[in-house]
Amino acid sequence: MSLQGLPSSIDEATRLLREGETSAVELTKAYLERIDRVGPGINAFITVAREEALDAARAADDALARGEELGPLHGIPIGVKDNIDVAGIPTTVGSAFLGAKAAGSDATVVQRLKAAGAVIVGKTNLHEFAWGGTTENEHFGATRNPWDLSRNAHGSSGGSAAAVAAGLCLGALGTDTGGSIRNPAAVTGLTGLRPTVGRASNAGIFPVAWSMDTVGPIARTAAEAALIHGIIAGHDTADPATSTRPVAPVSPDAGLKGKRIGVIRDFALNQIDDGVRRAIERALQDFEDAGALIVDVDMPHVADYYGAWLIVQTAEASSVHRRLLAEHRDEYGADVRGFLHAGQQIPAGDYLLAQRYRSYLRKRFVGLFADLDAVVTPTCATIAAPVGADPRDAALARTAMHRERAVFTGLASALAMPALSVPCGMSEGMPVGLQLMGAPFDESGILEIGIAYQAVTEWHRAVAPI
Amino acid sequence: MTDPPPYPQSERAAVREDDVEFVAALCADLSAHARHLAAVTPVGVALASITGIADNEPR
Repeated sequence: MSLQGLPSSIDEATRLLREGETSAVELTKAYLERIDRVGPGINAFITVAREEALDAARAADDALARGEELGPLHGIPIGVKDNIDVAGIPTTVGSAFLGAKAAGSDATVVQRLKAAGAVIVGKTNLHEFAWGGTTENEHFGATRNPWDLSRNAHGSSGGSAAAVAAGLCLGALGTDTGGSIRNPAAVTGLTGLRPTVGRASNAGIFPVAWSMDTVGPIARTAAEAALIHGIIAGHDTADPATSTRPVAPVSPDAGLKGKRIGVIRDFALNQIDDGVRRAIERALQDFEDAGALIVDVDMPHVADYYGAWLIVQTAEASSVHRRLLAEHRDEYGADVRGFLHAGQQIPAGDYLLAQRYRSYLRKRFVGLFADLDAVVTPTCATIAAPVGADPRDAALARTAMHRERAVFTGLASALAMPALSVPCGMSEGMPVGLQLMGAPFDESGILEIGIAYQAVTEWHRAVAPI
Repeated sequence: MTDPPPYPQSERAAVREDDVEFVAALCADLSAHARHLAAVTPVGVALASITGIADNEPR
């Protein structure tokens, strides 16, 4: 795997840097050159942080020359979704009216990336206000899928995923309220981790729906996702909602032997594209062949989580935007504006009912994980969608999705549990993703399964033809 | 003399004319979700079994 002379992995880049075969400045320039050359056709970035990246790279080279102890991302080019503050760069949140001035400080997760030596190369495109699944942004244009430029990269972290898939950086941060890390990762052939709510700090990140918002990595492999997650995760005094429990280490050699992997077949394999079904069924066979046990699970009414997720997300986001919508109504995109108006009509009783249903379902799933290491579903029921759908049609389809095509990522969101998407096949020339849901705060468990799965499969090695 | 509106109105908070149909459709969907949710919560299921209300029917 190689993208025209660029390192194929964070590991390879780290080795080249530490053995003196390249410098952080040379590496950063190479990625900035690729962003200039390939980037415009993808539209992955809202802001390319050229000078800031080169300054950080020079500092990284100086640290190496002084013999300082180096961080695990020393000199590694990383993209950051543009709803996450990076000091000195505007945070647009994909909107037409925010971002007039630069952020005054780094979000906690960015502080931690920089402390680990990362070089932030830019702020990536997103669905407006991180609320939507296409990254066809009315203000900054559509992000294109590097596997097929006529298709989008889903969303809302479509820019982060497209940037990594197109080789414009070696990893990226996304945010995930209902699937915004996992869906883009799945349709671009990458690995994406949504952590447990409270595992990584949301300080300095513009909210969507506070009871489900998370921040996590998008990378080529589960091992790289584990590396980035390990850096950004953990308690933060600036975000009192973060947990104080330690971040568990990830063992790369845990393997699949004896792992118990649950599947709710009437949910996970219902109303999905044939190509996606074939990929998931093959993945289940791969798990078994590697020594895991596939456990059929019965979970009546599980698909009904979707209503609770949608109601909570819509109501909380409408609350977040109450003042902004009043002051900037006409500057919102049509789909987000409509959702916000609809959210203002949700009765308090419905919101509380949805929260109670989430608690009920979460209790059932926590019980389930006492006997299972993971529950698998497809990440998306389909491959990436063509660019150009009417945003209002896409929004309406999203509300009705549970009746026509089970939507899978929102389940872990509604349960506030972690989930990992890993590439598991191709359909019509496009990547397909497998979702591994885990018990609360068991990111290490699903990452270990992802690493072990990628040790016996090759899907994560496929590179977009761009 | 014109009666005042039943509650304070703000032009800034009003739904745009060209959004009305879309917002109404979203609201209908959210209402359907809420009704359906009420029917599948443990209490809702118990009520449905007593009253014969099907899971997918609005209550």
